Amino acid sequence: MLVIENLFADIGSKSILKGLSLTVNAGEVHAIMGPNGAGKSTLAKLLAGHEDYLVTGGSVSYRGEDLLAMPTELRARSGVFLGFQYPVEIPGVSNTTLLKAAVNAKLKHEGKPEMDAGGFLAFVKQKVKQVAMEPKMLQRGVNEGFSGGEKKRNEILQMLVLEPTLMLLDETDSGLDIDALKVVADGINALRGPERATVLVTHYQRLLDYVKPDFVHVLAGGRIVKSGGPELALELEEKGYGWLEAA
Amino acid sequence: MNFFDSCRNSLPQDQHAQRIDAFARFEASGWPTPALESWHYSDWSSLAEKPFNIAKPALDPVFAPDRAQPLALVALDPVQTATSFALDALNRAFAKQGVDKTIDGHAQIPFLITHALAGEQVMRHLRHRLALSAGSRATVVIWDAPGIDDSDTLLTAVLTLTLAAGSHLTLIRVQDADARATRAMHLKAHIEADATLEMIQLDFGGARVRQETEITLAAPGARFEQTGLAALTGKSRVDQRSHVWHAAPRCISRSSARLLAAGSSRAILNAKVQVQPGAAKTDSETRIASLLLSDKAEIDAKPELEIYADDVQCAHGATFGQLDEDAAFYLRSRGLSAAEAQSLLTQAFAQTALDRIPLPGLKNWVEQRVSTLLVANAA
Repeated sequence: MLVIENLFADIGSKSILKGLSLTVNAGEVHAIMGPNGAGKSTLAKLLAGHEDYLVTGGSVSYRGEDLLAMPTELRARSGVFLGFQYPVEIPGVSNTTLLKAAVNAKLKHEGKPEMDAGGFLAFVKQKVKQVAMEPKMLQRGVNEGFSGGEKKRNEILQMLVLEPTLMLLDETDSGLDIDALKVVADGINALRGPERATVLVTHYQRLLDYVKPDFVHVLAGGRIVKSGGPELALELEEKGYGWLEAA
Repeated sequence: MNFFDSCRNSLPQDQHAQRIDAFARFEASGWPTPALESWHYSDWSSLAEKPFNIAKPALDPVFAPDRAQPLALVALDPVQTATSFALDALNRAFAKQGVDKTIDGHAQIPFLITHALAGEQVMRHLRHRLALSAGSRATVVIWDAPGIDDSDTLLTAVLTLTLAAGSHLTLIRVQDADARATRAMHLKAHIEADATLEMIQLDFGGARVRQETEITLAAPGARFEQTGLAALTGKSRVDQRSHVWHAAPRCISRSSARLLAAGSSRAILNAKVQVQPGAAKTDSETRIASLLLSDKAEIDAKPELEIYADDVQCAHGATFGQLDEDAAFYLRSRGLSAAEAQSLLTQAFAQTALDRIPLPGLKNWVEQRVSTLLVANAA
């Protein structure tokens, strides 16, 4: 589904990704771990189409298409979803407005008719329940005045509503208490399936107790330096990253 | 024929001598130009070349927001208190009538003052007086709707407001005049102890618009809350001045304005707060946020503070911005196009001001108006 080959990327004059390769197949869950500043968030944002990053080499294909040639919105409509590490607050644009515009953009892209207001509301309300959010938060501005945990729940809500094919979750677990962590994990697990794939960027093993990864990778110095199964995460938790960077 | 020649012979007959006198004073000073310090950004001298005729009275309100009750115009003595308004002498020369109303108790239905004008080179000059007696409450909408034929019109208005102790007035001014219209309004309010003036100023139209707001917080506990939104397109030019005097201790003033300029429009706002000696425990905040939507548009925003008292809390600030790029990326990462993201974020910028409108019908109308303006601008 996602094939990253020898990817190099800069922000400003600083090179962040230095020859990163990663293949993610449908049905798989990959966890990317690694020290601060290794390029984890860069990778997630770059895949979603953030324009601050300049790709200087390599390629990314998504379902056989050149992902890097697609504008951000086209990636989203084609099923790529980025769960933000720091979701922005957008006062004046309600959560409902955003969800509706997002769903309709996707349906339109797929050549399907837009949802009617009643059907959309019922659909969203059910998802709101799933992430244990107050329905009245739908009327508030996007993430406006939300706590850290509420923002992350809201990311998961958007993900459940959009039903993406490739989920990129950038430290969605950071700063969450155990209840919120379970909600986030349940949301990810609810969408797990043979047609979908997930890339979890995380600092901690904790999330992986709830979302079992098929593969764990260590990103350090702009490259994947080690890959393994779920046991690698436990090893990292115990030993830290120092032994890998030294190697 | 120029403006002065055309007007000199059409002054109303009642109080004729005073009107001749007032008009002579206006003619001597002429249309305001940047030579006047407070008119730094606007030059109306070209109006001197243009004749205007007096509008026929009794224009029906074209719109009644939330079933407001139109306030009837009554004969008013135009010869009264001097003001700093550069068009005061012109207004005084022609004004015959306006709204004159004292509000007692709690008025459940909003009142409507209509400022609409239609007809080519037609003018109208109004003087209003509104008073709220102690403890009363009311909502008043001043509605300046577009005419039917996009004509070149001129309207000046002077509104004198007095709020007695403990009263509360919500005053909503909607200026949506024709694209060629000229509008000048001077509002002067005197606010007594524990009374509140909540003002919402909305500007969408007009070729030349001047809005002056002078507020005196005259006794302890008086409060002034102002929310402004100017969403301008085309060649519209809206020049606003607001001046708040904190003349007594423990008064509160809040001004929050949002300026949006597209096309080759220009929005000007000078918001000044002056804390007089003895006005201890003054609490004042002025915020102006501006958003330019075109490289031909211009916004001049100037918050000002003058403090002559100790122990006060005053804040002011002006921000200028393009749209928030992080927010735009976030919206696009959910599948919205760049244009949709820009339109939503622009609407959102205006929305924080619109959320203050207490009348649901009017709020809906204004939201749609802003949305239409922005869509037309994006096209």
